[in-house]
Amino acid sequence: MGQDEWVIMPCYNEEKNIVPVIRDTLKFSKNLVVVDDGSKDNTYQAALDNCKNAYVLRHSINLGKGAALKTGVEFAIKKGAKKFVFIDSDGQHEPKEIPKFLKLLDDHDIVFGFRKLNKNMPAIFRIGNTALNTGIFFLFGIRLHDTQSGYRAMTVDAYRKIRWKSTTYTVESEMIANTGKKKLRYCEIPINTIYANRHKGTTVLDGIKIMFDMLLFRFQR
Amino acid sequence: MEILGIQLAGVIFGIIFIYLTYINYKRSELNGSESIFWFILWFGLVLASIFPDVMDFFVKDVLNIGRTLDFLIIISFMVLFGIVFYIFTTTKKTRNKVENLVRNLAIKEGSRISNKTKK
Repeated sequence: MGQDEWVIMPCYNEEKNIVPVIRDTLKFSKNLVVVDDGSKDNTYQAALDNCKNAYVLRHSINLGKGAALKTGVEFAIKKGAKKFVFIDSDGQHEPKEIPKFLKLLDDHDIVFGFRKLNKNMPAIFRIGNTALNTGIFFLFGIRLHDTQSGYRAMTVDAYRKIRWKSTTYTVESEMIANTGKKKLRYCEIPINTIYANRHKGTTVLDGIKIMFDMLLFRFQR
Repeated sequence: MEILGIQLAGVIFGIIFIYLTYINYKRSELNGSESIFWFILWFGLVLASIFPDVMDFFVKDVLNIGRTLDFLIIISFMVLFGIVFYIFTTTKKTRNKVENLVRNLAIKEGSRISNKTKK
């Protein structure tokens, strides 16, 4: 992995998972930025004490995933990053797939990971995902299997074109909306997903809000 | 002059808010022009409550609104919508400022720590 290829990992209250996830990620990337988004538990200190080779940033208050991703990207750009991979910190993504994302960035501006449907995926996630995917296709002409997966990669040029304003989970949808509007070259890559905790991540209410926000994105410049 | 219950309520409400505006002004939480705006609003409410007939000419003949109460409700809605819009834009600006501040602090602190530990 080159010096200009960076992994961005936002985290919030992941004290129990963060250390092994960082260690696994560092096997596939020398450049890792962990952004603790104002965790109430010991996430920041755990990451700082146990993972000397990662850059660990901390939001003094909780701003949301979109804001944490942006902080990580801005930091990485200062360090000379040209390509980024976004990975979740709860252990649901496998870091060994990072090189595949980076390889695809040679021919694409943005790469979306998609979770293969399997029996482990909670039913509510399947229904929600299908509804969101259909909505995004009609609104932005982008055909994706999984609009809410956080495992993604993009080039610095793509980031500058689609710089998002969302500070929350809506960021995943805004990235897609902007990809469609700016006509960026995109592709998908299947990823393995481990659902460890059903009560974290995007909720049904988040899903409804995302739908509403997507409609707003359609009419924004 | 006989004062109805609703008029009395309007007077008490206005006086309470004149007092609160004064307190906020003394604590420098409202500046001069903001205080004047609120004082005028509350004094207007008190006067309109005590002398509702004074506004009859303006409300009925000039604006062609049937009742003074209707006029007050319309004005109240206009003021409330204006205030909501102002609060909305102010909150949004403040949120952006907070986000940028928190981000810049995180990047600055992260750079400082990493310069120390990653030499």
